[in-house]
Amino acid sequence: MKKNLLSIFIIFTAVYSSASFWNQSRFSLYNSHDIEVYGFENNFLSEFMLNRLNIQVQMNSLVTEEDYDDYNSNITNELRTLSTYQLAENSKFILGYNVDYYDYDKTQDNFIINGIDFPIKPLVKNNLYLYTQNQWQNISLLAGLRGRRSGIDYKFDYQDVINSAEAEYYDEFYKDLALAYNLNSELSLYSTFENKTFYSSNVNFNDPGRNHDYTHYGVGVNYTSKSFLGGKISEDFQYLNKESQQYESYQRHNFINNLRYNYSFNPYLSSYISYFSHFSYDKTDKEYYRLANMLRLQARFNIPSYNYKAFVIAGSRISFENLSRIYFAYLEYPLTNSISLSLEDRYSHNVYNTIISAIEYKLNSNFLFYLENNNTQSFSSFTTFDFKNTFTLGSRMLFR
Amino acid sequence: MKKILIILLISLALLSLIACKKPTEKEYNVDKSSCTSCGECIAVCPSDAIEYNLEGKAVIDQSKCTSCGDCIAVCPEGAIY
Repeated sequence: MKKNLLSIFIIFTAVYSSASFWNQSRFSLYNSHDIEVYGFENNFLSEFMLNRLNIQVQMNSLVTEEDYDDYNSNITNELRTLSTYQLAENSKFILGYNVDYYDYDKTQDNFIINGIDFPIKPLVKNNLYLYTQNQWQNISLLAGLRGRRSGIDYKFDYQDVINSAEAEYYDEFYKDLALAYNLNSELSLYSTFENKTFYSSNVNFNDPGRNHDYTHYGVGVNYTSKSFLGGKISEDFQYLNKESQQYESYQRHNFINNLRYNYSFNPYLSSYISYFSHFSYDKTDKEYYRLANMLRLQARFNIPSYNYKAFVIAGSRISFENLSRIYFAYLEYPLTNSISLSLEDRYSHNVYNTIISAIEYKLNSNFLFYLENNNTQSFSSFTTFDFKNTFTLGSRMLFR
Repeated sequence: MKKILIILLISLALLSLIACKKPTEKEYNVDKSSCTSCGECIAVCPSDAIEYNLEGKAVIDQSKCTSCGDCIAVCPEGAIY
C-alpha cells in the first residue's frame, strides 16, 4: 500500500512540475515447473529529471504462492534510489547518493554460529559518491570518491550468545582517478588508479583478520581507426598492477587486451568480432598465467521493411577459460508505426535456454504498453528452478 | 606504423592464449560493453563481491570473490567471462 502511494506521489509530482518523467511498471505471472510455484512479480522504475537534478526510484517485488522449502519459495522486496546533481556543464561534477534495500525472506547462503543465523549478504547498502569529468583539449580526467556502508541485520535465535553490536556493518571507501592523453584522433595513452579501504565491524567471523583493502595502478594504450582493412578497428592494451593481501601472486601483474573489428558487407549486413584476453605474470613462479578470455561474434542484418527499422541480430560470446558459451538471436519487426514484434532466443551451454517473445503497442509518443512472455529452462544446479515462465503486461510512460 | 602496432598487439594477445599457463583457481571478470546493469549477479553473489562502478556497470571485487560461478549462471547477457 505504501509503495502504491509513493508511486502515485512521484507521478503527480513529476507531471505537475513539468519535468521530464519516465516510468516503467510491469506485472508478471511467475511460474516454475517441477516445484510448482506460482507468484507475482512487480517492477516499478521511474526517473525524474529537473534541470540538473536526476532522481531514480526502482522497486522490485516477488511473492510466491506457498512456502514449499527454503529455495523454492520466497518474498523479495528491493528498493533502489539514485540521486545525482550536476554542478557544472563543461567540467562535469556529479554528487550522487543511493540506497539499495533488500528485504529477502530467505537470505541466501547463511551460515550459523552458535544457533544464530548470519546472512552474509548485506540488507542495506548506502552509497555516496562525488566525481568529476573534465576535458581540456587533448587531456581528459576523471576523478572520484566513493563510500559505501553495508548493513547486515542478524536474526537471533538465542539472544545472549553474541553481542550483535560488534557485527553490524562494513564500510568500503574508494578513490578513483583516470587520466588520458590523445596523441592524435586515433591513438591515446591513459593511466588509472583505484584504491579501496575496507573496514569491518567484525563481520567476517570465519576469518576476523581478513583485510579487503586493495590498490590498482594501470597504464594503457588505445588505438581506434575507421579505415583498417575495409572496416573499423579498436585495440586497447593495458598493464594493471594489483596489490592486496587477498591476491595470489599470479593476480598482481595483469595484462588486459581488448580487440574489436567491425566490418560492413553492405548497407544491410554488418558484423563485428571482439576478443578479450587477460593474462598475468607471476614473479614468484616466473610464469605467465592466462586468467580469462572471451571471444564475441555478432552480425546484424537490416530486414527490408516499410520503415527500414526491422532487423535481426545473431551472435555468440565464448569464454574459453571459464567454459561458458552463450548463443543468441534477436528479431525486431515493426508491423506498423504503432505495433512492433520481437523474438529473442538466448542459449547458454549447460546453463539455460531463454526464449522471449513480445508485442508492443505505442499509443502515442508518451505512452506504450506491451505483452511479454519469458520462458527459461535451466540445465544448471546453480539456479533454484528447472523451468520458469514469466508473463508480463507492462507499460512505459515518458513525459517531457 | 599503425598496422605494425596492431599486428604486434594481436600477436601478443594470441600468444598469451597459447603460451600462458592456466591457474589452479578461476578468475571471473565482467565485459562492461555487454553488461546491462540488471543486477542479477549482484543479487546472487554469496560473498557480496559484485558492485556497480561509476559508469553503472557491474565489476567483480577480486579481493572478495570466491570463484563460485553463481554470477555466470544467472547473467542473462553472458557478460561474465
